Amino acid sequence: MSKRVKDLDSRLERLEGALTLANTGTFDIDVEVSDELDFDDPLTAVETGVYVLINDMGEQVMESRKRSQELQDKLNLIEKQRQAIEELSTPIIKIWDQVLVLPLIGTLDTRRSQKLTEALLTDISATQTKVTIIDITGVPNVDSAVANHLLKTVAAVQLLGASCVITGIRPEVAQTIVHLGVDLGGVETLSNLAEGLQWALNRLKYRILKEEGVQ
Amino acid sequence: MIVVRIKDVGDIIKARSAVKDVAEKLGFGIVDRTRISTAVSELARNIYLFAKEGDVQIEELSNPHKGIRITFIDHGPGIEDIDLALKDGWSSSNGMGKGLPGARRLVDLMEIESQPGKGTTVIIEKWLKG
Repeated sequence: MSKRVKDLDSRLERLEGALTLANTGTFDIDVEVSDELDFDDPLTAVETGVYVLINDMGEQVMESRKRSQELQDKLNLIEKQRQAIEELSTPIIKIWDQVLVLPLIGTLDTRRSQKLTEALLTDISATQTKVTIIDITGVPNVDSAVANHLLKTVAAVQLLGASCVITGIRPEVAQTIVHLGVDLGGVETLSNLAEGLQWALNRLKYRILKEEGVQ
Repeated sequence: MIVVRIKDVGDIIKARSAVKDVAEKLGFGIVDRTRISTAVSELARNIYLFAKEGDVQIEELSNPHKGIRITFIDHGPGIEDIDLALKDGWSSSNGMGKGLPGARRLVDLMEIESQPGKGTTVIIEKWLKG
């Protein structure tokens, strides 16, 4: 015995509409709880099922959108921090009259070394710097790309009429550079920053004298 | 086996530090660790420069040599002439031309397999001595 389904056409249309909306990502359908919910009507169960399902899906989608927004926020934060670190980790210090020190820390990629070179060159010409010390104690890896960046920076500094010395090449880095076959022969290098400063002062004809007879 | 996917510049650093960790665990000294990670830096950068993306696989070796093996796999343009690519100073990327030959000098074994248009696989090994 088949029961009569009330308003079949309009109800089917509504179902189809809800499904189409759900398909396009709209889940906010108003589930109409009719006063005269007729459970004998075979379509009622299907309708209720579909609407509840769509509602649940909507909630899940909202939840996952929220999550991905949170993730995106975190990624943005990381990017901001990376930029902050980048700026903080490339200070250019005027250590003496006409002497700049650039202590490099971490990894040098193309972008960072370009920014560095730019900042350094600007500072050199603004402060009439004669000697620049690039200290790479904090650079754990010097591969051919990093070496290339360093060589270019040194060349640019020299074009501005300043002399340049690289200090702080660690023993293991030195061995690696030699094995790589990178030629730093044209670049002045010294083992540490203290020697670099001494070298710089020598070039500028300063003499540091220890006072005699003072305890 | 550890796999690091190379997709952007930062992944080169990831691969390098993963390799460093494994090498340290295996008992490599600071000089060899620096050699290995510099070689990884060169080869991972090659993936990024030429193939845009690829994988770096890191594994332990026990027989016949104790050590570390790192495999670089990409499906990029491949290398036309491997002998030429291994020549010091030759570069197809406006670099110093020290990448491949330099990396080879830093490790105990390097094998390159490449098919133009299909991709490149580079295997390097560093052995623990004594």
